[in-house]
Amino acid sequence: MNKKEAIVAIVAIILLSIGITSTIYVQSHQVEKGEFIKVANEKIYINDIFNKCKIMNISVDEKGIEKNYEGVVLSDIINMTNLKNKEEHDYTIVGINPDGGTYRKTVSWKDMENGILTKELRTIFPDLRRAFWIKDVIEIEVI
Amino acid sequence: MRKEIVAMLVFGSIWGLMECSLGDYLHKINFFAGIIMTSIAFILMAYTRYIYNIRGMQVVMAGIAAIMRHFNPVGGCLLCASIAIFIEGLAFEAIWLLPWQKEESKVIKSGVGAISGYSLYAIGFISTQIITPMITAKFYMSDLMANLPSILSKATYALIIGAVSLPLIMAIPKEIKIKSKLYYTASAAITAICWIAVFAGI
Repeated sequence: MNKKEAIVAIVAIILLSIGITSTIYVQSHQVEKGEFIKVANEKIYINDIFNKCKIMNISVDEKGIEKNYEGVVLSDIINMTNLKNKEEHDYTIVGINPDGGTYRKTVSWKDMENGILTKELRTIFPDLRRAFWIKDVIEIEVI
Repeated sequence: MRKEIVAMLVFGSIWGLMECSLGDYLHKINFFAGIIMTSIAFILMAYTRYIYNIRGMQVVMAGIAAIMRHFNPVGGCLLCASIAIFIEGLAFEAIWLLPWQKEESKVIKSGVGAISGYSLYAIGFISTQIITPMITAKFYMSDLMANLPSILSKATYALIIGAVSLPLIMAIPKEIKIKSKLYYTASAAITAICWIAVFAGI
């Protein structure tokens, strides 16, 4: 093996090691949907969310096509907790990836007032890119 | 050089069409969309670089595909996908600036394929995680750090595909004889079909 081969092989092995380590980390931190969503460190039961909060309809313009979504306004879910000064915080929505790991995006209070959580536990933010639409929500962290 | 410019247009358009059709479908059914589309992008870029050997050609192809993806009338998070495509082109150019193409060793071909596959996926994905929030809302480092293990884990599949595909691509004979008239006619037809299909929302 000459010097160039050795360098390329070492870099490839380092990247493979990073990938394998990350896979082990993701697999060891698998999460599943439960009966509740953790909101500001409090357990809020999903049934309670959809029984107590008003169901809203929002329509989103997706490149000229109007799509309707139904769900609970995210700020109403925060209002179910004992959190104070809600508008002064940002909120990290945590969802489950198809690989079982988690995926998160942080939004402002204003976005929480405009966004909804559907019955499929998916967030819809009409004013934000779809990268912020988190599937299988399990937690809303307050930051 | 005229043939090479036409090749950029054709392969960029094919890439763009694949992103808008196959990429969208894979996203919809939640089936390894990022990994498959990055691998297709890598194979297209590696093949054209091997055949034409022109620096900068792949970033132009990526630019064409990114424009098509952004202006495609259907599909989700078009900005993220466009950013990822263009960054993949830049990452490819950066990796392929290194002087290794004249090496015949299979270790080097496979290794560069692995490095390219992994880097393209990881850099493309990480870029969207930074640039999209910066443009549309606010970027949080904590979000990126939390999503990083998943990105670095999935990139392993792209590494394996890259390691296998590059030696195969470089085993294809370089000399492909096509008459000029047929080359330009076929190129114009393929490019037109790709663009019409994308703007028709396929």
